[in-house]
This record gives sequence, C-alpha cells and structure tokens, in this order.
Amino acid sequence: MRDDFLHRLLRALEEGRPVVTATLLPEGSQALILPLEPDAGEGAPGWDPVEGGSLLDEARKALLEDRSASITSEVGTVFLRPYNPPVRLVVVGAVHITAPLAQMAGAAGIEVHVVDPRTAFATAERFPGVHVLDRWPAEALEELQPDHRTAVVTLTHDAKLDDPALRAALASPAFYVGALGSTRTHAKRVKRLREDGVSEEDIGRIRAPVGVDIGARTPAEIAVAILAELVAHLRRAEAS
Amino acid sequence: MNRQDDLGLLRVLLEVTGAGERCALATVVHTRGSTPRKTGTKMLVIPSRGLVGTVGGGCGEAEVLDAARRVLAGGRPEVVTVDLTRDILSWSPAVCGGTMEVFVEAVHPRIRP
Repeated sequence: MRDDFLHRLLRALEEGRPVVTATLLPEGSQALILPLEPDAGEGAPGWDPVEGGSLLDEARKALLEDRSASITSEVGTVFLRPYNPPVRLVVVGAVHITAPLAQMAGAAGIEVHVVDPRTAFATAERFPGVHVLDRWPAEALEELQPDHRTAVVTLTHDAKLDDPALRAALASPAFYVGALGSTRTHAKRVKRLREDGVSEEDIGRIRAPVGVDIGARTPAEIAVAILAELVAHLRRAEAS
Repeated sequence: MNRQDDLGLLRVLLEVTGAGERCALATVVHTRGSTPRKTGTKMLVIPSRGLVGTVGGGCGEAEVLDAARRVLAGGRPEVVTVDLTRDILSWSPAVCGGTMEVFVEAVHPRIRP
C-alpha cells in the first residue's frame, strides 16, 4: 500500500468524518468509504457481498455498530474497519449538575461541550478539560453539527435556552436527547414544542425527566443517572 | 483500540513514510475463541524503531513479525493465522485460548516529485 491512502484516512479522521476502510484480502487493495455522506456511492469499489445488501450498506452497519466486519464478495473477502468520530456530549447550561456530568463523561472517554450564553456561568476555569462555548444554543449546535455519535442534554430549566437546543437536537441524528425537569415541566415543554411544529415522533425522542430513575438527589447522582442512560442508548443502538 | 490509539499510530506511520522509510502494518481481521485483541486492532512494525501498538502483547506476535519481515523484503501482503492455543510463551491458556487472523502489508512512501 502507498501512504497516500493513509494520508486520506488521517485527514478524514481529523475532520471528524465517520469513515470505513475496505480491504480486499489477502491481495490488499483498499478503498476509503464515507457511507453516511450523500455522495458515498461515488468511487466506491464494486465489492458487493454475494448475499444481502451492498458494500455501502455493510460499511454503514459497521459504523453504526462500531465493529469491524468481513464480507464475502465475488472478488474475495472484504475486511471493513470503521473509524467513528468520538462520542460527544453537548450540555446546554453551565449549572450545578454540569461539572460532575462533564467530569464523569470525560472519564468515560466522551468529548464534552458545554454551551451557555451567560458568560458568568460558562468559563473555562469552571470546567477543566471541556470545550466551553458562551453562545446561544441554536448557534452553538449549528456549529457543532450533532451526528449519530452525539448526545444533547439540556439542563437550564429556561425555555429560552433549552427549547432552541432541543429543536436543533431533534432535527439532527443525535443518538440521545435529554431534558432536565419534572414531568410537569416537561408537559409544558412538549406543549411549546408542539406549537413550534415539532413532530410527535421527535418529541418522543426526548428523555424526560432525564436519566435512569435511581432516586438521584445530589448533582453528582443526577449526573450518574444521565450518563447511565446515555451509555445505554449508545451501546444498545449499536447492538440492535 | 480507541480513537486516540488509531490517530497516534497513523501519525507515527506517516512520519516514518514521510521520511522515506517503509514499514509494515498488521491488522487483526478475524478472531475465534478468546483472543487478547479485538478485530480491527493494528500494530506497526518500523524497521529502524521497532513496534507501535500490539496485536497480542506477546501472544503469537512472533508469527506476525516473521510475516512483517517478508512483506518488507518485497513479498506480497499476507493473512497469517495465529494459533494462541499452542503458544508456549503464553502462561495462562485462559487469556489467549483462541486463534486470530492477522493481515500484514507493507506501506511504501509515495514517490514524491
């Protein structure tokens, strides 16, 4: 193999694009596939599996399951190796729960982004090792572009901040969308989102009250509940 | 192998080829039974520097290194079957009790103008 193939792979990884390498075994021809992008089919090799879907389908599956796979094609065995962008958590609101949540998510290897336009709250000093954006949520999410490896959690209790973030998250393929607030708070929120034209299906994607019900009381315990639910969504989606 | 490992290995590899040196890349492409590393794990063999990453932490790595030598000497890419059930270097059969297939290929610097 020539190293230019790996230059292309590294560039795609650095750009945070989900990518799959396909290798024809044992001969060693390789192809770079970006199966989640609109023009994915262009330039993909014709190594379709003998049975079942296309090479592109299999590459997409490898990415979504985050697992390597081998398929049998007419030209031989094709090894598919997925490279996913890091799992990201976007937390809207630099509040009391945010610090332990960011810390625990970081320990689990998740890249954390905290969004809060109230600059007194969102300072880098309060959240070491975390990307802090003192921007309005809609703007920040437009920039962050949530993908299938992104979770979005709103914690502010302020409709001005939470609602636009939820609308943006629901319009994206984010794998987990959670909103802090009681059942009653959530009912009011659902009413507002419905009036804004958000579909019932999308509203159903919101986890609220956020987190697994473990009777959490302190900010750190609530963070545990949220992180547990997030991991369950991520891993079960991969497994199913 | 996590994302940071992947990025680290690729950067070292490209640094090596960027300096005009060849290296060999080993990738676990199939596993059966209990193996120390998952499918997709990579190891880099750099003649002038040694190894980056591991496909087995000692278990069966000798076969892979032999194959790396062959591909670096100009041989075709190979799929090596490593049987860890008979690895005399493995102290605990419970740790490495399976077999794995490792694809070994040479990576050449692109000819730059």
